Amino acid sequence: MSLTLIVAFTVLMLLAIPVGHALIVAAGTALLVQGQIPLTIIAQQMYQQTQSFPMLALPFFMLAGSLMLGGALGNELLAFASKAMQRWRGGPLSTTVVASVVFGGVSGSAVANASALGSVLIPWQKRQGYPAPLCAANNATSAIIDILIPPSIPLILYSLVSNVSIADLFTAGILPGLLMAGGFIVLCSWIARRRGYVSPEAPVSKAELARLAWRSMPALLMPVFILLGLRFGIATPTEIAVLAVLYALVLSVVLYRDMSWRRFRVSMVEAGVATGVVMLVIMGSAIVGWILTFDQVPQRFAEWVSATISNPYFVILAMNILLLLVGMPIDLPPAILLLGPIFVPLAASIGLDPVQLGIIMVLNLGIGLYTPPIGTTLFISTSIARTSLGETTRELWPFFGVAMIVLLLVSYVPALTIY
Amino acid sequence: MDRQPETGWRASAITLADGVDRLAARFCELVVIAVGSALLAMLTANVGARYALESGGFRFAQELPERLFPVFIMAGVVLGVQKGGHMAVETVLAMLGRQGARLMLLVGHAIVIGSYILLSKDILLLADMLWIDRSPVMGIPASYGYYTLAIGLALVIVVTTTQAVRVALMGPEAMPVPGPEEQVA
Repeated sequence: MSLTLIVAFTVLMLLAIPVGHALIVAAGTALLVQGQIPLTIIAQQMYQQTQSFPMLALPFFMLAGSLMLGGALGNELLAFASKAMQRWRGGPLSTTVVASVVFGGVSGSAVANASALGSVLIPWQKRQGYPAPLCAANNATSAIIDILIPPSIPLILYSLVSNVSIADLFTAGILPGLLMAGGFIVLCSWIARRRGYVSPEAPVSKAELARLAWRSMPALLMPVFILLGLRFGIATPTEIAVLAVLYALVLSVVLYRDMSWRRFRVSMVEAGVATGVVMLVIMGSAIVGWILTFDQVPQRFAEWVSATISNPYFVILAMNILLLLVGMPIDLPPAILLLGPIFVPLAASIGLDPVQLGIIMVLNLGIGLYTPPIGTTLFISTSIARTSLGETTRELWPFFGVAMIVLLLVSYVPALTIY
Repeated sequence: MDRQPETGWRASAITLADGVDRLAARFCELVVIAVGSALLAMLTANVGARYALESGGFRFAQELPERLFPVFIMAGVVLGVQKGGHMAVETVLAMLGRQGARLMLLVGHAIVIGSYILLSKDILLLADMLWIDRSPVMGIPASYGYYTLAIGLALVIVVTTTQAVRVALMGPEAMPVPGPEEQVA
């Protein structure tokens, strides 16, 4: 049954059928070919996924991010990040990196980040004399910092398939996210120094910087509130997500006074669409997972890998390579939902902590978002910068190198994720 | 999207498809906003009640949101189809010429429509059997959830059909292109 499933899924994917539909149809095909299990199992599995209380956190974290970044607060954050970095060489480039960190504390989507920041920062960086391909490469790669800093939608999805606490995953993502940001800032500075880029704008005074930091404080504090709320058990992840929405609403209505019914409506519909997209994949993955479990595929795979590759370090390396390859053509959510159930028992068999595995998976698949030739943030950034994919790719390799170093550190130094 | 001016029955078919699409979109947007707001209100009230009431929150606070969530999800799924938000691997599609891409998209649409018709029938069968399966606190039959799935899939069939009509008559350019806010990764 699993073989039919894999063949059907591959064919449907090649036909450009959306992943969620492809999973459901492939599972149906496998069941029909097997002939003994009724199709009603698909309905049961689909419905069961919609009855998950923790998954209610998804639309509300998305809504909170959309409400916060869509208004004046987003502009305040951007102003703070750009002015803070202006005093260093390569500052305009590093602004994207810093903005990805601070936006990451509000939003949970790398693609939305690449688009939101890129559309504002890339034209500005170009005016400052930075070449378009370099700006595009910087924007495409920095965007994945967003999905490591809490709240992170991919980490919530991983918690669903691994039964690991969302609070543990959110905490574990912070250090790798900051490490990645630090690496990119050093790289931006090095590139600017080597090529002689000088910012034409004078740095702002410390008092002005402090004023901007104060204005951005409500957004900068959001990830802190989320982590404290989860860590001290003040509310469940779903309730924290709802409180984040309320927080965003209060800030918009009371502090920034830029909330309108239209903005709320648009943000809610965006959150609804994103939830529908993710939940369809979750429903499809559940049926596929049921079939794979019925055929004992995850256990057999773990046994086979353990028997073939005895060294745990090589197993981790093999997982990384597979994830990088899968992350190129397949989007993050389906890749996590499909590979998670297979990798979690494998990780357990070699003593790899599931929290560390979660960060490894998200980091690998995040890198897939800009690995040429296919990559969503790569495409978005290149298109905003109005340059060619080839030129962006040439500028991308140093950033890719830094990301690889961080990936290796996260893969082989547990202290970076488990503390 | 640059649309070629259509005339005769083609124009009528496209107008009809657009009209049906608009209707489905309005309905689903209304559902998302209403249910999303209701979920927001309920869950917020429960956090407050957890600390204010001795009972530790409302008894329905987990059950009702769980029962409403499928409605929110299915409306989002339908809107996702309309806005082109569902993730697909389009590597082969990009390699094809215009006619090839049109044909491939139509085959894909036909597969989805056919499969969901088959699946909807099974979901309805299950829904009819599950009237006796009621939720512990509010006594809501599980059938409602399965009917929601069936209605959602029926709407997916409708909007996939309207999309197929547009692709058939106008070519692959008629496929919706998602905005970054509709992408989740």
